[in-house]
Amino acid sequence: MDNNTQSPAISAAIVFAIQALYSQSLFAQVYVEADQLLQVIEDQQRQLEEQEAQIQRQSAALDALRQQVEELRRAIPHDPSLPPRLKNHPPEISPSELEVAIAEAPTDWPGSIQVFGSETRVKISGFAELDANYDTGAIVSPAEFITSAIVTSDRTAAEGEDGQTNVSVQVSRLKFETRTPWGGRKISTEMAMDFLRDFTTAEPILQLRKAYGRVSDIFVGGSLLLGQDWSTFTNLTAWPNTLDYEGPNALPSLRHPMVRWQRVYHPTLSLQVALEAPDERVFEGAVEVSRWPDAVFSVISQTDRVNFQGSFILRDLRGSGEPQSAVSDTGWGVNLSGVIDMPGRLAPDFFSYSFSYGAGYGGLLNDFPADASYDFYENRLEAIPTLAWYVGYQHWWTPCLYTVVTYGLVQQDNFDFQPGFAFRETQYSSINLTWTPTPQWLFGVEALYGTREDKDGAYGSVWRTQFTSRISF
Amino acid sequence: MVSRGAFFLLVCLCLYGCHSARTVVIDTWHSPYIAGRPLGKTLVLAYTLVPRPIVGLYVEDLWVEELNRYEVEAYTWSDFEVGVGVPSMQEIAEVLAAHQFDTLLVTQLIEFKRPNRNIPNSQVAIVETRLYIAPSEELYWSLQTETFLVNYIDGDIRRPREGDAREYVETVIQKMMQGGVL
Repeated sequence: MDNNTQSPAISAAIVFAIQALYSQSLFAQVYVEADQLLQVIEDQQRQLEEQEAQIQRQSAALDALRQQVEELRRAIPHDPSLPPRLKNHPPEISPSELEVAIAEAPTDWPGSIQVFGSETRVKISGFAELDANYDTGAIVSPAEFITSAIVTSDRTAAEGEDGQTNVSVQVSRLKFETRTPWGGRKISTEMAMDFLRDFTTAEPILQLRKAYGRVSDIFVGGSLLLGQDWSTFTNLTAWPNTLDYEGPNALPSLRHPMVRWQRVYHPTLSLQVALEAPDERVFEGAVEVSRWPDAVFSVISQTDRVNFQGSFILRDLRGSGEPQSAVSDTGWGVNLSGVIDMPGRLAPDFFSYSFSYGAGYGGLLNDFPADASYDFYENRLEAIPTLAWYVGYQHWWTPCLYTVVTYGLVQQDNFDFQPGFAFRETQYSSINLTWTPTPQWLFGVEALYGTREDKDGAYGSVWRTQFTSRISF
Repeated sequence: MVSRGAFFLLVCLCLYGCHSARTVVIDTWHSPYIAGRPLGKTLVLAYTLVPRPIVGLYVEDLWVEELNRYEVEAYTWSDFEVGVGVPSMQEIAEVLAAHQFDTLLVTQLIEFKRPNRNIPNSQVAIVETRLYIAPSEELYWSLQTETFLVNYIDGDIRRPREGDAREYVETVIQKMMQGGVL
């Protein structure tokens, strides 16, 4: 019984003793493993510290190398005239050799070439233009849309009455310019030519457009131009950007020989006085017999947003209606023209305009209606009163795409003694869409509509569609 | 005649009502060897060599103003102007090093578009904006645009309209952001 009662206590004690012994050995094993782990961690930490120190040493060495490279680079002599664009530019977008030469040239005239052994610089430029057009009616100016050339009566198929296509390169142009310093002054010349000597045919015939020399600051503080250039009566800035080479019928656009003095009184104001050749007169019934040159006076104002030119011309119209005598009349004309840049969100669109009135100046206009008519019965020459105006608007759709719309009108007050076919009125309208994929290449399509009415009421109208490609250099 | 005039007015009104993009991107280039990086402290230089070397003070000011809006620390070349006219790269490098710039931003007017046969006036220019790493002066990004940034009349560049200039800068900034260089 006693044995039975004592046995559970003994068993429990034995179990407890065994457990105690076993747990002590387990604890000892854990401690050993922990020590080993700590040693591994410490080894790894030492390795990391060594690696970090190595990285720092390498970084310092790299910095030293960079500094050496920088010092070497700084030691390379720089060309002070070289703009930043030409430095370190990779081949993919590097400028052409010509562009580099132009950019490096110590001049304010890009694109020019120094003449060897001289201070003269020369520039050659121009464009090759192809115009293809289709007329729906009779007009005898295939390369230009001259509304006065619209046939009003007895129209024939040869004149295009049944429709006509013309392809022309006549307006292609070549231009030579030079500039030479002379003391504190500058001598410049320009010679330009195209192939539009005869507007009644599509054949290219060489024509001299300009040939002049100009000396700056030579007379009363102004420059002097001698040679052939646009008439001082013309405001080129106000010329709408039509694809049609001619432009609006009411545009004064004569080129002829002259002597012109110009002085800039203020950056926004200049004055021009010119004596121009008494040529290109258009007389009805009389032959031109010139005596005095045309006197032209113009004031030009050019601000950032507005261009304005006011011009006045005085002409001695002299001709011979009968072989034995010469008769004359005084011609005069006033022109107000300019460009107004559109404000606000419409920029950079611009509006161009021209208004001319006078008597005996018609030959200066694109449509060149008669300056004067000879009265056979009275043996006199009468200057014909002429009104001419146009407006144009250029809208930029994007920097590569624009549209120009124009309208122009020329009217003359006919005399009783003028013949029935005498010019009375022409109208010119145009609208185009022009794409300029590059600064050198221009494509465009233009629709033109023109009318002509004669004194006797004879009337003609023509639609023209024109395609133009122009590549400039 | 009245109907023709009315037609002209109608066409003008139609054109008047159409607003167009004023800056068109032609080409973008990013160096294959240099990854996108923030501008950091930036020096801005705007210049042209046509019709003659001129520094575009107004455009520089606009650039700095717009970059500041994007929290970029930017300064105009004119703030450190050494001489008159377009600076040489050596002059620029000295300023970059002396003031510890991170980036050089250059806007250059390359060429004008001259659609008129008889006058050189132009409203459209080809303009290029380039980014250089300042310490090495290494080009890593460029953008060519056709833009109404200029008004070229009678042989002179007139001050661009503020709206056109701002739109140009904003367009380039957007492209810079897309290219990961801002």
